[in-house]
Amino acid sequence: MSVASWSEQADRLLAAHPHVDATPGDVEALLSACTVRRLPRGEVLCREDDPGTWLFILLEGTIRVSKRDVSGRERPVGTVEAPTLLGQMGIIDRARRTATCTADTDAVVAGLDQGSFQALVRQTSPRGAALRRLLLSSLTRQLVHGNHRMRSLLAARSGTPDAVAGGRAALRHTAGVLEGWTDDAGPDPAQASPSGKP
Amino acid sequence: MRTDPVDAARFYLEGLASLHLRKRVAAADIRAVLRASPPIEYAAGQCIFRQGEPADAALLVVHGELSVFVSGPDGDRVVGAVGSWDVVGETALFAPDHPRSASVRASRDSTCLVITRDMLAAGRSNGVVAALEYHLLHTMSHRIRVTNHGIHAAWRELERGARLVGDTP
Repeated sequence: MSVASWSEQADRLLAAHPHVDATPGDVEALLSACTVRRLPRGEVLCREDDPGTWLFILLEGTIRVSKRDVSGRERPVGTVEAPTLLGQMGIIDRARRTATCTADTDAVVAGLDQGSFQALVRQTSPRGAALRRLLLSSLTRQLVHGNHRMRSLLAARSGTPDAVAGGRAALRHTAGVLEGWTDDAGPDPAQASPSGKP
Repeated sequence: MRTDPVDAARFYLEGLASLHLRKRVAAADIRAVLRASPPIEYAAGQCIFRQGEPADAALLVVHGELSVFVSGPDGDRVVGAVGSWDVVGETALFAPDHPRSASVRASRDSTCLVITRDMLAAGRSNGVVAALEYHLLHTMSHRIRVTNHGIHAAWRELERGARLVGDTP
C-alpha cells in the first residue's frame, strides 16, 4: 500500500483534531521522530495486558479492537480508522494494555517508544506541544463521548433480563470508548436493551 | 497574613513546572502566563461555571476548594470537589462545542488560574504552558481511569445479573 507523505499525514491528523493549535510543520516534526511500521491484515499491533510501552499513531488502514470479558472470552469493542492515536492511556500512565488491537486491513502505524515519548512530552518546543495537544484532544474526545454514553446508560437502567443482556454490550462498548480504543459513538445505549425499554 | 494572589500563583507555577518538566522555567515564561491570565479570587458560595453554558476555559485551583454539581429535576446533586492542584472544566479546551456538563461553585474562598485556548495558542514554546498541558494530560487520564473503573464495576454487576437469570451471551 502506498503511504502518504509526512506533510499529508500531518494535514490529516490536524483535520481530525480541529481544536489542536499546532502547525502542519510541528506535526511533521513529531512524525519524523516516530518509527514507522507496516502491518499486514490480521497482524496483532498490541495485546491486552501487555505493558503499554508504545504510543501508536495509526496513519493508514483500520484496526479491530477486542477485550476479554469477565469470563475471559474475547469480545469485539469496535474498529478505529486512520488517522487516530492509539495506546495513549498505557503510555501516559505506564499501565498495561486494556485491549487487543489487530489490523483489520493492511495498515501503517507510526510509533513512539516510552523513552522517546517521555522526552518529547516534556519538551518546550512546538514539536512537544503538538504531541501534548494531540493527546489532550484525543483524551477529551474519550471523556466527552464516554460521559455521554454513561449518562445514556444510566437513563436506560432497568432490572429486566433483557436490559441486562443489552446493558452488557453497551458497557463493554462504553469502556472501549473511554479507554480510547474506539471513538465510534455506536448505538444509543438507551436502545441497547432488546426489549427496547428505556 | 494574607498572601498576594499573584505571588501565590507565581510560586505555584514554578512548582508545577519543576515537578512536571524536571527543570526550572524562565521567569519570562511565568510572567507571560500571569499577564495573559491573572489569578482570580472567588468568594465562598460564588458560582463560577453554570451547567449548560458555553464552555471556553478550564480552571486550575491554586488554593481553596470548589464544588462540582449537576442540576436535575430532583435538585442539585454534588458530584465532586476539587482542591489545590486540581483542574476543572478542562474538556472546554479541546471540545469547545460542548456546553458545560456541570456547575462549579467555590465552597471556600479560592484562587484560580483560568486556562484559555488563547493562552495555549500563544504558548507553543512557553515552559509554563508545557507544564500546564502535561498536568492536564495526567488529570484527564486519571479522570478517565476513575470513570472506567465505575463502568467495569457496573459491567461485572450485569454479568452476575445475567448468570442469575440464566442468560448466555
